Amino acid sequence: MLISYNWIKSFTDYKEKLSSFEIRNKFSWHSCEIDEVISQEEAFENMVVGQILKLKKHPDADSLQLCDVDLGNDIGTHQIVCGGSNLSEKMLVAVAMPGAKVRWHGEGELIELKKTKIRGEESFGMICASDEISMGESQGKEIMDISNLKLKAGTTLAKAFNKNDFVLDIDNKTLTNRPDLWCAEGLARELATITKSKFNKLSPKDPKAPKSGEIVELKIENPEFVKRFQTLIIENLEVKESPIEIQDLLIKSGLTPKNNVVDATNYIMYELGQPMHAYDFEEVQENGKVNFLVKNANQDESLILLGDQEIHLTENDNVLYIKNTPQMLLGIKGGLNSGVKADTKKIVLESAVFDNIITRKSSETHHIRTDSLARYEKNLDPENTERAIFRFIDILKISCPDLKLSGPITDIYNNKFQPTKIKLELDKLNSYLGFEIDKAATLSILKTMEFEIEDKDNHIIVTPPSFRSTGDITIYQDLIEEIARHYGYHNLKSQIKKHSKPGSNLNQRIVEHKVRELLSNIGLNEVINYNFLNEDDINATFLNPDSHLKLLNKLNNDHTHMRQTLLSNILKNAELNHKNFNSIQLFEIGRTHIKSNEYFPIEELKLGIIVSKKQDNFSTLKGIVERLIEELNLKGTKFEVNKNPNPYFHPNKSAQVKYQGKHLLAELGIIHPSTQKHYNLENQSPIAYAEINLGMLHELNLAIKKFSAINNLPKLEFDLSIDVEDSIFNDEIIKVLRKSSNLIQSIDFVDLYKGDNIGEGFKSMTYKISLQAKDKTLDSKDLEEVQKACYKNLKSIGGNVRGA
Amino acid sequence: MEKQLNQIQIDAEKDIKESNSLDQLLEVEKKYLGKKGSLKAILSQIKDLSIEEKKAFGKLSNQIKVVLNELIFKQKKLIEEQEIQEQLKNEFLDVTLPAIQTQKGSTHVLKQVQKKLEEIFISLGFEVVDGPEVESEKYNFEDLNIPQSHPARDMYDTFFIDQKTEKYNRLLLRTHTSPVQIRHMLKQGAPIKVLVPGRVFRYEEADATHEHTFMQYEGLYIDKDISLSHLKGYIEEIFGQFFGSKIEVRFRPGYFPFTEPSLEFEISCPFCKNGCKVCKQTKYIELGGCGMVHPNVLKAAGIDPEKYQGFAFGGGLDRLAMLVTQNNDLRLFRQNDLRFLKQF
Repeated sequence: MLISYNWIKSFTDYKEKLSSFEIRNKFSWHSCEIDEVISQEEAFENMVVGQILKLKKHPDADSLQLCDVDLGNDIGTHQIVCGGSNLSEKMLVAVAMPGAKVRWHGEGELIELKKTKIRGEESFGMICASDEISMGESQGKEIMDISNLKLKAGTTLAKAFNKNDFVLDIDNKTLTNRPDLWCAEGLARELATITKSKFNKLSPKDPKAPKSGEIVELKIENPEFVKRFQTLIIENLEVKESPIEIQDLLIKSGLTPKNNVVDATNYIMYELGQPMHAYDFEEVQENGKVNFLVKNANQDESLILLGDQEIHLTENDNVLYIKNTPQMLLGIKGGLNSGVKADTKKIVLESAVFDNIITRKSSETHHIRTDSLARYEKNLDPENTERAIFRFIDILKISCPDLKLSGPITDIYNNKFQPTKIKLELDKLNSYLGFEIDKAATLSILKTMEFEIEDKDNHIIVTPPSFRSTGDITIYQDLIEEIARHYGYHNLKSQIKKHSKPGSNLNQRIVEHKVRELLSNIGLNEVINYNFLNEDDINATFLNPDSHLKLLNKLNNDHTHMRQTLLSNILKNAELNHKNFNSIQLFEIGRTHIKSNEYFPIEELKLGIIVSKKQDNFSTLKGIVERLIEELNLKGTKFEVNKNPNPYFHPNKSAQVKYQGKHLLAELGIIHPSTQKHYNLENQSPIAYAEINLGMLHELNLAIKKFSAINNLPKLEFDLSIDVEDSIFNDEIIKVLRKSSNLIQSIDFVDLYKGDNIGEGFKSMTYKISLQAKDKTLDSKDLEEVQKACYKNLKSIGGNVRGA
Repeated sequence: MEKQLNQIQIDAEKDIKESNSLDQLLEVEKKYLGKKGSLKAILSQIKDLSIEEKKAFGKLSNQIKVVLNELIFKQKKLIEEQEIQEQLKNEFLDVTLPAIQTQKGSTHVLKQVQKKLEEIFISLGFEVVDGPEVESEKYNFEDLNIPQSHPARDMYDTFFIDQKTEKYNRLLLRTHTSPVQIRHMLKQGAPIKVLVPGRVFRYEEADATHEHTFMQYEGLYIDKDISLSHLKGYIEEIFGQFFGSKIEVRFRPGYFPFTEPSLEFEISCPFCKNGCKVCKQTKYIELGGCGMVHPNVLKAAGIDPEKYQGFAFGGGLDRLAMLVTQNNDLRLFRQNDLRFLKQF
């Protein structure tokens, strides 16, 4: 919200002159946040009234003149080069000196002037045309003649033009619970409290409406919506321009002045915070009578609002019906047809308060935000409507001194304000603050804010004023806030409590950080992706879109569903990064979501790892996963061929890791070639991906491991090569070898060979087998026995041992 | 005889000292102490001597042998030392050649910031907790004193998911970490002292300073006597530790439905004394919101607000990361470009 500072100040007896920085701080430290304070004076900095003493021709340019300009005693007389067509000696002009910011020929950005030479002649700034200093349109090449102001040379232009106001740009968010601050008077109450000065509340006089006469017949069908509805018929009006002071204040608030009647309603809204509406009597009367009907709209009826916007009403909208047609979306926006026109002579004035929630819901339906709604949704004070009417008449009388009230004010007041009392224990106050506050200071703050106080010994009973009683102040904590912010948060003393219990992290988070540390230490880079993907991603990974959570409101078409695997987004990372890197190893720790039968979906913490290099992608990935299992000290894990992998894996190229029997800890494998192609990675070697259910690892065994005895007895070794069918996996061979003898201490895979001398569909596998006993030194006889056993067992799986 | 022996010693000592290579020294050793050396040669004359003389001669020649051996050993050391010195003088390694790189890995800088915050809070006795990212409207809004159609909802543009029950109302993506307050208080009751770092979502287009997905942190401390002064103390301590310098905290009134009083906090710029680019010359940096937990929130979580009170404060973890990395483009954190990631 934009609003004039001088307007606010006029409701107080605060006299001090503040800089824009100080004004901003006063409000920001105690009341509401000011985004910006726009100073009119600062816009006229380094600008003064000058008097032209002497004019000479510029020796080098026909269109320019050299002016000797008196800039007052302090600055002296300087030469300024000027091309103005209306220059004359003795003339008073607006001079922008070096350092001033002007809009060159009234166009473009503001430019800061410097002392310069124009065609070889010194110029101390410039003599301005009106549009160069935002003082209206300029005529041709004429400069601004201000001789009629009859001011001394050297007078600042800000003073000359009476530009000493500031416009506050208030952050509306900080007024969410303060309906009373949406106007000059409310902000003035804050300013007075902040500056400990007097607040002069506006008390417009009762215009004494006639006891009888024309009135609005007001019928309200939905009393839960209308808290108070007042109307008044006013005649003998003349629609014209508003007084310049009123226009000026509205412009500062960012409004465009329309005419005296509409401007007066807006003026009251910004002065007292009460939105009002004026209807053209002729448009709303029927046989000289006005009937207003307030009710829920008829479904699908249409209403054309001011600004030509047509909306289709719903039963949740609250509308004013006149002559059986909807004329106003109450609390939000007026209808196009019933407003004040150039020839309006008589109006019906509405000053009402509506239920904030119902009004807001209606605006949400139609996505309409207005100044009026911004106030109504904060819950306005029903005690304010009559003051607003009185003040409206005062304001309108300035332009229409002969206006007449046609009858009494109609007043339906459904929800009469009832003052409430709140008890505030001083101990509680001090306990919230953490120090003991001076009671007199407390009372003085509350009094300036118009709270009524009964002072008991160790507590006070506070009655908030009506304009703070619509939800803002309801409990003693609200009072504590009033006292604390005005007393000043800078008075708080820092305190730390000695803690009785040590802090702790989540077990799962400890696992997470450990994994992160390990993977980064062995050369992987961590990525963080969104939880979102779209149906194309889901299809590319062969998952079922229906089992995915779907956003009701999407921001764009890339982000429509919640991910069930981290793979899709990591593949996008790979696609991006392969532009710059040949070899990529990434990991992500993030959550996935799967629809469930319960209200809350299944949310799991996953670790995704991708390896995309020129070669050895799977074996590299397998090494990473094994290292991870080892470092996390996970007991009872088992690598197995994955017979039924997730569909985004190659059906014959994936493994799984079982943990503690049957839990699936991880799946790893080469990703499906179609999936890889979908992310434009078909030119890369087959990419390996692992997804690990990190959430399964609730607890880690982080204790230092126990020692196992070192066997110093000598080892015997032999190599063994076996030709087998391709379908026989390493795992199986090792299993067979293992059970051949309990002397086998280790079996190391050495080589896999395929070639002409092996035969189609066969491979040769070579192993190094180490033997070691726990209790004796082995000899060649032991070795031979083990070899024989191995050969024999390998035959059982169709293996042909070389040299056996 | 004795004279001859002494002369051999003198000659040998001289030759040893004059040797300046190992080969030369070996020759000298041979010449005097070898099988055909002068000491052996003189021994051939011993047979003509008396027993006494033999004894005396034997003793002397042994002494000389010991002395010479020692001298040779010393000279050998000396020569070796010289040779190494000589060798070192002429050997070079171009240490300016590029290194053989160890594999460069990295953790994400947002996670580094999160971990650092967690460690600081833990050191002050806080317990780190978390809750689901897909949350109910009840916990995300209603229990936090933000009823439906309250204007405060404007502060939280929300992603919804097509699911609804009477108890929980609509399913949504949590807009802040505050619902975890409710969940944790319901579970654990008071007193409570927790940190919630976590991912949150806002229905908002992403640009250099806005994201629809970002991280928040939130500290909550409820006990019988926790005050605004504690709030100030903890914020000062936590961010002092985080930025590694003493900082000053400043409060402004704010508005949040779940705190009363509500405040915004800013800290003195940890990067300058007199204004800099980071603090936009203001010497202060806005960090987040805070306040005393609203009694309605305590009640919703089953805690008696007349017995317990306390503060909550929080802000954007991404914002902290932007400050420490001095990166002004929020989008970089989630673009996952390795040229960015590898810097951390």
